Amino acid sequence: MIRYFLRSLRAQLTTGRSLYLLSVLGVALGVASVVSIRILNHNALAAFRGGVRAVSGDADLTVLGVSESFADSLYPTVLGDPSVASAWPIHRVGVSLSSAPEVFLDVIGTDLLGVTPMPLESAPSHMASGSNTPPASASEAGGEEAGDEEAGVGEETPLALAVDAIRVPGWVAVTPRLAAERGWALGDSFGVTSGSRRVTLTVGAVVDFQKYAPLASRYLAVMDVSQAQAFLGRSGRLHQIDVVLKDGTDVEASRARLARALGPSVRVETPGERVDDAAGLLGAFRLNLTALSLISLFVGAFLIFSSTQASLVRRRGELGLLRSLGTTRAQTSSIVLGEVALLGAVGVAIGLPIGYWAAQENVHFVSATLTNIYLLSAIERLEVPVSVFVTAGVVGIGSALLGAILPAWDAAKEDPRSLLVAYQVHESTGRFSGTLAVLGLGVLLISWSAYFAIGVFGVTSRYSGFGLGLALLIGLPLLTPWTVRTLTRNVPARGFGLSLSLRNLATRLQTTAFSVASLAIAVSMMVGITLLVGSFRETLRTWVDGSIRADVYVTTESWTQGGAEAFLTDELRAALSSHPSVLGVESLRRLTTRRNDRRLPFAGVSLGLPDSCYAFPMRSGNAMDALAALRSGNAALISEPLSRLTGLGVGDELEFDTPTGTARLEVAGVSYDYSTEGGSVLVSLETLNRLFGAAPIQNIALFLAPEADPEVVVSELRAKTAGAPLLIRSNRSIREEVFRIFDQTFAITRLLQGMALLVAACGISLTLLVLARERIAELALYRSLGAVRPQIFGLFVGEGLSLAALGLLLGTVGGLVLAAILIYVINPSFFGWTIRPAWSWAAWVEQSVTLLSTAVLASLYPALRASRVPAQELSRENL
Amino acid sequence: MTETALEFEHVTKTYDTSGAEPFRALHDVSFQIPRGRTVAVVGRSGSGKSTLLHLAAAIDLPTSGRVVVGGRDISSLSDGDRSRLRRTDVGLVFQFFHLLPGLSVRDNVVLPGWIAGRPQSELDRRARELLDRVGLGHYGARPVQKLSGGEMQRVAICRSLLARPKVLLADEPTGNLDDENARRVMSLLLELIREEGSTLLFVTHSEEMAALADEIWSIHSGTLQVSAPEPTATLTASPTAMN
Repeated sequence: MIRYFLRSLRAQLTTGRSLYLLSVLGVALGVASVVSIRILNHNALAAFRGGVRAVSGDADLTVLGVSESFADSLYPTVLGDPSVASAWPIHRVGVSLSSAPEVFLDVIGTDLLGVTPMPLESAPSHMASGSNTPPASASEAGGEEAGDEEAGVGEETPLALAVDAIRVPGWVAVTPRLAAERGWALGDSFGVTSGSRRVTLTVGAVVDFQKYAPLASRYLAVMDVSQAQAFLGRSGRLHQIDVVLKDGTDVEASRARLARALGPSVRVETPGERVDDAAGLLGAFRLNLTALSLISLFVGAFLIFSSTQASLVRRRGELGLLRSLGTTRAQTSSIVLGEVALLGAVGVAIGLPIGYWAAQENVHFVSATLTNIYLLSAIERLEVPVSVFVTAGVVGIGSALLGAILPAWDAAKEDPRSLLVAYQVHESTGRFSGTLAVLGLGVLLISWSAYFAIGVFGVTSRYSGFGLGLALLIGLPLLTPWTVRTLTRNVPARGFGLSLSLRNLATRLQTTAFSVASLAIAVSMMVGITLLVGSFRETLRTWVDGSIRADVYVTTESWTQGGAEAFLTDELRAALSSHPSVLGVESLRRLTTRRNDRRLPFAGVSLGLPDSCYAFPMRSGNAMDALAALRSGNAALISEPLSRLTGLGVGDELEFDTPTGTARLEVAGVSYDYSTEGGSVLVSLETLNRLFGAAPIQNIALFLAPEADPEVVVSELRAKTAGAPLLIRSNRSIREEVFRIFDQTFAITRLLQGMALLVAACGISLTLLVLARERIAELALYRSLGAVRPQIFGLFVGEGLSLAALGLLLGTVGGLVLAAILIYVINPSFFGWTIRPAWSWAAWVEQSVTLLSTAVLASLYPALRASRVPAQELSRENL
Repeated sequence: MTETALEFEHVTKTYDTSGAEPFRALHDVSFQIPRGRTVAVVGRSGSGKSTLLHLAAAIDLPTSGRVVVGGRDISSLSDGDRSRLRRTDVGLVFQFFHLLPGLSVRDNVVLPGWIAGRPQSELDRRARELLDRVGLGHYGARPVQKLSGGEMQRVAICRSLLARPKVLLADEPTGNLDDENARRVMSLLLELIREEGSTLLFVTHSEEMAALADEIWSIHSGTLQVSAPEPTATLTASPTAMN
């Protein structure tokens, strides 16, 4: 049997090259879609894990501030714990390179003379012959090439390097990759900005984290903790203490003891918990991308179904002969499924590199989302874990087998006699189309009824939206044969053109319905996601219009990564506020605290301007009442996602951690807020300083006189503060920035839409090739009746267009349902935002034109093949 | 002078076979069929009957010699022109009817007119006339799958006559019918041919059917023996009787 299988396989591959090629391509694209998202998802977390590993090494515990930083006076307490073998303090600041403000350096200030794991090296070969520039001294707002002390050039011991780190002002160790990228040699100086301060650092050593944490960022740098505090952050503050426990220590007991001893201003976590924390933060983002990527795979399975079906129709006689020669049903199925499994394996082999390539091409979008939205580490290198290969194998071969099971079973259950009789396949599908439609409607009705029924009983699951989505993916294909039949069989044929093309679809329903179904799924995804993204964009526009009300916004170049350390000095604030056109100034301080393992971003606003300057977009509560409550100092305005996550509403009490213990504020209102899916809290600046201790502000907003031109004022302010690393932006440019980040965040969905569209295009080609093969006699009849080749060509292109038009019709309906699921069910469950649906005809027309054009392109080759069928092929078989 | 509808002049047709000697399907075949004549070709399977019909229908080209259909040498025509020749001058009837299952009786009849791009109103009129003539006037909207074998072949005959072709070529037109239906369909075909003034060349295994033609030719191993026997039978069935 194996010998027959191998020989038959070779023959099949030779005779049905195009058919198998398209099937393999369908699986390959589906696998590529899943693989690319798996790789990106994995690396999103791996980048964070790499950062943790690089900085904390083999630490058993990490002490972190409840609100970003804590007093360094706690360090001796940690060292004093009997279970602690060693501990090192970290002052961590995100700074911007002066020469390239968009490049951030994550500076780890630590005790280099202690037991820190930083792998410092003095001079790797590629840097040893570098610049002889003397080492620079760190100086605030000083020149970039300043400095005259001797640097640690040449071979030095780690101890000597550590001494240099303390002795040489601005001494910093950078990664070899960064040094190579920027062209730095030992002793070179470069400028950085931290908040509104400019500092010059000097490359004193290299630190190759990637030796033991390959995914660690090349933008990590190490310097002495005191220097980091003094020049880049704040003296007396730490962000982290990494702790190694003595062998045999009970980690949990040590953690509890340390937490008690250190008090409420810190939390003690294991490295694993920190990674879990990041995973939780990215959970919804990763899950939704995975779900979308599976749609392409689903469409790919349809292709396998179609090609297997076509192959079996062609090989019916062969299977009948085998059965009559004694082959069992199981053996017949095995032949078919074995072939399909091999096709799936080839698809996996092709899909893996395509997926890796797609991940590489899109990594910058995901990376930007990680840094802009989630404030996590960027992905700098893609690691492909073994699990990706396993997943690709399972989903690729699995989906191929899934697509083939039904046709294989169909062929195996037939007796030899009926297999040897010509197969009128279209009639059976036509007969069952009504039943399938009822089944499809049943699936949809049951799923929606269950969803609403569960809601009535108050049992909610955030995954119920995926259940509805799955029901749509099952229901839509089941409804397709009936829809195609109903829409096409009664079209009055008027000539040898599009109407006849449409009628032909109904005749070969078994083949055409699957192509239309796979197209409908792909279009549903395209329309659904476009509608979601478009609606989200419109909602965001409304929100931005209401909430971004100041004329000019000022922050620092390092604000996105610098956290609390990226502050504005009082002098700069005063200088900016003194511009004659400025009528009012609003100050903002941001920090992140926690409650019950949940990050809680807080914003403190000065609220000193007239009431008319504030227009909180309220979801519940009254804006003016909320403003008054915020000013009173005992209330907070919470965002909609936070309200959904915690169940808190107006009048409830919000509980959160502060350096002095748990604090509570009354919820004065719930506002629409699209800045973070984790939720955020707005309080008065005075309240924030009272609860978390006074600290500098990070942003200011300027309200100008009505006659002032914001763009002119921005230019004047830039001139006035020349040299200060500030981002001074008008209302208009900050809006543009918001939408730039928004578009970047959703860019990855375009990849998935494109993949699904490509797979669907393969489906059109495949279907038309199958039709051309099935209808050789019919095509020969046309030719014998006088049809010229361009007419046959046109007929097939018309059939491709008709397939696409039907797929578009069904897919648009499916897309509307999918958008409703995404907007009203999945989005509130996972992100907590209210999105107002906004339909864009322009986007739909654009997608329709894309789809129909793709359909025409996908039809060209099959149409060419069909047009070449000679009239002599008119065999003595039935049509 | 009688117009010649179909002419073969020293026609030879060979097919390349992989590695072996070329297969000679027709050898030096020459004949002329005047307009209005009916000719039956008899011969065993593989004798070259189908090749003869393919050449006569301008579906295939001769290896050597000339095939003239409706006064035009098919070898001088392009593939497209040969297709257009089939639209106007050639009608085809097949053993297995070759009706399109997705179309109604009327749509199957007018299919060649669609291909030729003729106006629908004209096609509808002609289809009604032909279907009435074969006794299927009230079946126009019916799906072809619901017809009997004899009815299907009558629809196929209507289709072949839609464009009033000069030559009608039929490949075993009664080969898939029982004896009674075969006789009726053949009688009807001959009657219609004479009414339309066409020429009929048909291939058959049946001596009874062949005997209905003006001439019976035999073909053996690609060689045609042309003779002019007296007709031995007359039309006995009418469309009305067939209903």
